[in-house]
Amino acid sequence: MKENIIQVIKLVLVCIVAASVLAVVYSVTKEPIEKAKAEEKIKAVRAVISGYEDGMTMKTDTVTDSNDNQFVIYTVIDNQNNVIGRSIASYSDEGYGGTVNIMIGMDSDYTVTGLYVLSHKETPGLGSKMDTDEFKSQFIGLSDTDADISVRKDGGDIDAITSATITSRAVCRAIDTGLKIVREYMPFENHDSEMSEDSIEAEVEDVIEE
Amino acid sequence: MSLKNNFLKGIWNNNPVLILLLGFCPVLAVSTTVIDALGMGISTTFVLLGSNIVISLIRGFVPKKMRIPVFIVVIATFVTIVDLVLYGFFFELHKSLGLFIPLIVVNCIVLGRAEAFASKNSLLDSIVDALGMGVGFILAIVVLAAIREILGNGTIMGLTLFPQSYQPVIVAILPPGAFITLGFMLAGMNRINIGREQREKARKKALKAMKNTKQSNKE
Repeated sequence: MKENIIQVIKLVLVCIVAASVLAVVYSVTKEPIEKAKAEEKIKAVRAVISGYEDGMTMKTDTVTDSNDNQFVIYTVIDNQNNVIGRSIASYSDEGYGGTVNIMIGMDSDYTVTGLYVLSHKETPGLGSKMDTDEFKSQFIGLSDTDADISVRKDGGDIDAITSATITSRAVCRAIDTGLKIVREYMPFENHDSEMSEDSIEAEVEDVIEE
Repeated sequence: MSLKNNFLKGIWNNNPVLILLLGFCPVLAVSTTVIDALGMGISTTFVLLGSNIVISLIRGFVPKKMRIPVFIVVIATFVTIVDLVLYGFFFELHKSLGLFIPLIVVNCIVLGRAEAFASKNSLLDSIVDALGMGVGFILAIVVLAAIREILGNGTIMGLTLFPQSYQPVIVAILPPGAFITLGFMLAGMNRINIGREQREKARKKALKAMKNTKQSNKE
């Protein structure tokens, strides 16, 4: 009996030590991890929007679609208040190994300007080929209205990755969804009107000051 | 057992994958490309080293009946530390390895060495054992990955080996290909070891015969 109690106490001790070590490591790495995640996002936006230069501002919006899914949309604006491009962190849950997260860059015609794979759990060596230029370059210049963003097997315009059709489908779906979400919830036309309202206000203020 | 033999046994005579048949889960899953296999091998070796050190240090403290839960807590703690540290400070590496790190928890090599070696041996011996086993694991998984990558994808370390007309044997890179290739590797390993044993036996027999004839000559 006494022996049993000692065993339990020892196991509890080991767990307490392990938990405290983990707590320390977690608190030490928490900040770098968040920083790395944020840097990754910026790197992704930079990679997918053609014409992104240092000194441009990046606006972040979160939209919620009709199915309660949240998407983060980044708008890159240059010094003259022109929208250079917009990118959306889109995803599809229908990958072979789970969720596929992709940053999609587009210009004001809703044409894809670049793709950046944020994270995926696809099979290494097969589905993971979605992150190659050979596959990604197929999407550049396509828009959801004048092309069918789906794999050829489903009647679309995209060559699937050999023996990774499910992954290819998920990528297509993520891109198609991303373009449609931006078109529906954050259209480029809106920005211009917002801007003009802003500038009107600014002018009014100017007048008052005078 | 000398330190050198202790180290070398992990590489050949007691190779964790090919002789002890441990850790098949990551070996089969993460051997589609050589780069991934190397990453998996190195992170496993690191966890193995950490867990062997800690378990060897606390081996007097751990009650016999409670040892398995204690080992699992130690291993899981190490894996989580590796995951967090890589995520925070080596983000690029984590991006490619992140998929495999949780797999190390279920790698029975780590638990197997904790149970069979580190819990019974000194710190230095346990460190050497972890390094030997780690190198043995890396060798096995990298060789398997090299065969699969060359056959199934026509590349090695991302370099294309064959002209465009080469049709890769896709099955090699698919899950069944892992089992088939590993089966051939095990067969090859057994063939070499059995051959060695037979030669050893034949040599001993010859020696004995020689001794006998010498003795009879003397008589």
